[in-house]
Amino acid sequence: MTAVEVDDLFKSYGSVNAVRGISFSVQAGEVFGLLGPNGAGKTTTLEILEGHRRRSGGTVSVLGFDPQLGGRAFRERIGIVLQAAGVDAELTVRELLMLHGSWYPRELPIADVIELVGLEQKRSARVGTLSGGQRRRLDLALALVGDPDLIFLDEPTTGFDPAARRNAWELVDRLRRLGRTIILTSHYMDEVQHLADRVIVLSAGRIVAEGPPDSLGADGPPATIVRFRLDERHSSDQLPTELLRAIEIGEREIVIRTSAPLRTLTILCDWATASGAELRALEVVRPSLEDVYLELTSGSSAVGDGGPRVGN
Amino acid sequence: MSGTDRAFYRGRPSALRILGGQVVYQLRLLRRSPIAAFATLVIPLMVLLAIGLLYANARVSTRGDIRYVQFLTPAMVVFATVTACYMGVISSTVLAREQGILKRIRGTPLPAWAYLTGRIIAAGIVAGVSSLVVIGVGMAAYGFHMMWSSVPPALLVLTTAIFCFCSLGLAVTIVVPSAESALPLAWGTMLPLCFISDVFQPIDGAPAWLRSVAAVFPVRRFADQLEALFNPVTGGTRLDGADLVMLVVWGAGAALFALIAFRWEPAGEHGGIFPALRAIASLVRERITDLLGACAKRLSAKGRPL
Repeated sequence: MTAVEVDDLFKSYGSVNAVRGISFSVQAGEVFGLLGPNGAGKTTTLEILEGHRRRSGGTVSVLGFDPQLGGRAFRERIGIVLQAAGVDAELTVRELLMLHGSWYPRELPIADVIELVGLEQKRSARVGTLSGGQRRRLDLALALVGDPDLIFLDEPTTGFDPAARRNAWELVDRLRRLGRTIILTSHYMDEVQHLADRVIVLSAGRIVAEGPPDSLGADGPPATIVRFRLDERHSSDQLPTELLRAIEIGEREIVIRTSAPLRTLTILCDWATASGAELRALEVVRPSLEDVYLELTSGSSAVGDGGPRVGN
Repeated sequence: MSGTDRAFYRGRPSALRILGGQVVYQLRLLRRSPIAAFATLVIPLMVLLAIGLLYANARVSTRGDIRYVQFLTPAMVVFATVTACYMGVISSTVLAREQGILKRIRGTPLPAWAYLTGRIIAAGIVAGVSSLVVIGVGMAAYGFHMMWSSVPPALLVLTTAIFCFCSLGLAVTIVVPSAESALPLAWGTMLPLCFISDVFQPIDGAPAWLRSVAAVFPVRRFADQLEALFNPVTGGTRLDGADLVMLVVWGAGAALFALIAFRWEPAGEHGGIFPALRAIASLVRERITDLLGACAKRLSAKGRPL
């Protein structure tokens, strides 16, 4: 079942086009990631889906509602963690959760929500006394208290320490297991890689890549790296001609960038076997999502600025 | 984990429950913000004590030669109401908006009317308490003569004024560009009106044009009504319908504007009065388009669940 359907979405602020005709869908129960640098349009997209912002063109359906017109019935079924939103510093954690929970037809037990986000020690503390990370956990708690079907998380772990991030990840995993649909944005590539079933990468308001995190960049740059050292009896100019044009000679090693790693390895190994060369510290490195992301969004690669490659 | 699978369904909460929650929430916030409470409760009291000390035994010749305190006490009830409802609503609402609290609330099922009405009722309760304190101090310190038969019509006037000034406060938040400018704008618009509207002293001898200007605004209408109700010589328990209608018209107009153009998000790039006005114009356009769209959708989907 489709939870979110976006077709040809446009958003402009005056003469600035923040989102330029993007289309995607999110299935119920899926964890969906929006990736992109600052200004790529991911928060604008998210806020249009939440109903906080009006679109300039295209169609959007969220849980069967047009978010612009969905009203109370729509908002009863979603939970939102905004990138930056205030809370009343004078209330306690428990009071604030009770207040928010009282607006929904379904409500999670307040004690459960507090435990879920790890704020048991702070349940009676005024919100104004919480640290940045604790405040962010309260944001999560407020988004969950109405037991939503769809949860929007706009950079939910920004400001968390590593342990708190891991806890938040576990929480998202739990929510996924409970069948909740989650749409998140993040600057942390490992977070998206860990959490998201599928992602879209936005750059300058357009989708530049889409798919499961592991598949990103599979059919394009950046290349896989094959890295090794040769023994003393052999030198790099003895390598097969087809590899020669793609190699980079480092201080201690030879690097080959390839979009066809299996073929490159076959040629390399055949040559090594035939010539009796030893390939020391042979390593095949797949590009990380971060490499893919940087290449997709900036046009330059963290791995090697689009150097020569072995292709098919 | 205790489990997020332990959710309980109780159905959509009733309007009364939501509204009650909002009033308690607003009062709790006020109780825990000593500065806000100070401004609302103490300032009118200080003005009463200060002016009372100076003129307690003076007479107001233009109003049946009553003692000054008989004029001043109801006038300070007016000032207390305006402070709690107009100034209080503007400063607290703009602060909540600029801190992003309203944006968060906008993403929840809390209806806009419940939030706005909750603010009005809470401010009204504060205005009521503040008025009681002013009257009590007026009676105890300066011998203000309480006319008990005037209390029922005075309550009607007070309720109408609370609605009027809270609505005006909510409407004014729309054009306030930042948290820093909220209080200067609130005091800057209301204080001059108070001076020309018989709040700090009767301006019965002022030029006719000034009195006519003041009569256009609700402060003068409110003040004249309340002061007349507690004037043992020239006043009485009869209400002036035109004054009440004027308060209702100002309040209803402001409430309508607030409902259509209320801003839930921080001003951000719309900071500054002119960008704010442009943003309001675009907001009003959007809200009306949405309203028409929602009506059309409702009509076309009548009888069919969403």
